[in-house]
Amino acid sequence: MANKEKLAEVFVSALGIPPEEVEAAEFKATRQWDSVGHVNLMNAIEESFDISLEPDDIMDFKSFKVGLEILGRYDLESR
Amino acid sequence: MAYLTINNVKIPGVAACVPKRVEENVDLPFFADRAEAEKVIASTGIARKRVCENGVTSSDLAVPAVERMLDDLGWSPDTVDCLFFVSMTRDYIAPQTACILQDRLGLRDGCFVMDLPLGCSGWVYGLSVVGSMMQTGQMRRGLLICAETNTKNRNPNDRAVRPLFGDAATVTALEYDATAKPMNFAFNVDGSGWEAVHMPYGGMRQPTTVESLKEVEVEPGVARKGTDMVVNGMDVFSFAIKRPPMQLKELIAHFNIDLNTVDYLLLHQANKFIDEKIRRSLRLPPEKVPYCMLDFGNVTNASIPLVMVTKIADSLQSKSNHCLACGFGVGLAWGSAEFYIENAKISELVEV
Repeated sequence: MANKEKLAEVFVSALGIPPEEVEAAEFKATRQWDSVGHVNLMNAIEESFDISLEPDDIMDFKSFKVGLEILGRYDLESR
Repeated sequence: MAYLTINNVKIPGVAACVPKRVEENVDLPFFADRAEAEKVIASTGIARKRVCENGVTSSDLAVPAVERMLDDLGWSPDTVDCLFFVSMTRDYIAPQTACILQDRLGLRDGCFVMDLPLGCSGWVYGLSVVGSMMQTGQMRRGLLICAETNTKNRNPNDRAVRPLFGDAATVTALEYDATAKPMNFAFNVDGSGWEAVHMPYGGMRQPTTVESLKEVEVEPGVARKGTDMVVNGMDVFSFAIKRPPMQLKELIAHFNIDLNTVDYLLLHQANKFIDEKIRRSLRLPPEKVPYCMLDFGNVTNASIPLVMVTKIADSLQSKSNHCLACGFGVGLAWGSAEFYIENAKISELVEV
């Protein structure tokens, strides 16, 4: 599964939002994505992609679009 | 970085007291459904907390813990030379609660007592203060009480904090001992981040007003009064996953600590995601970093001693334990310590 689709599934599962809202999802603007939701989301991403996100990346991860760029910097292909 | 070494002081005992009342996070009203609650529990590692009844203060929780520990150690109250009460939920703004505790606990009037209004860094900071007072031997027995009724100054309709914080009191006994191994400390503070965790009203900067007592929904799912504790989750999160691990690494380097000889890293029980970040950054195995947050939540300054009482009592009572600790939070302030606990008396958890 492509990383974008996999990340979208994680957003749906972790934040409980409909799939059609994923691409526009942003921290705070998306109701379920508050500080508690952010911990849920980061935890789910680390588990799903089997990575450990760097602190700066966790704090910069403020939208689906930016998150996809951040994940692009990790070595996901070999996992 | 401020460093400190304290000689001649050991930790002979630790005790804790929690309310009997349990609040399960799956039952909280603001989660959309059980699935959302379970996600929060999985990521924070906090399933339930102890919550004290109305009218019960942190000193009310502290007294049974101290009495149990004095009894278990065979210490008469009149042999205690100093008492420090670390808390942000003190009985009154004035007088300091430590004075009230001197009377309630039957300590003699020739006793040094003081409140330290510190949060999650409070046990480490408090240990350094009590240890500093005692290391010359003029004071031979001291009590470090860390107690907090977090559920009283956080709004129950704030979904960013209610799943996380619980109530507890702990007491750590300290005793002069010329053979004790040194305690080593590192401290940092960043006051520019004070708004990350703060109570806007009720102090002298912004006294309590009628308006400040009205509950307002500040964002969806987050309602609070001006006198409630504000916890800006993302600011705390950002700080906690960066600065404490850096400080621990600097403590280890400065005091030339061999991590292979460390039995336990005792972390402030912030939440599982944060604490696991810190553990992994030091490449320590899970068995060396015990957590009690599942059943007690984040009990701020009482976190570290509560882990000792509820998770590693057998080890602390039966052998020499080489420990690191790190407390971090409101201030922003954070402190790390290296110390040993050997054949200590760890009292059974008191529930009231």
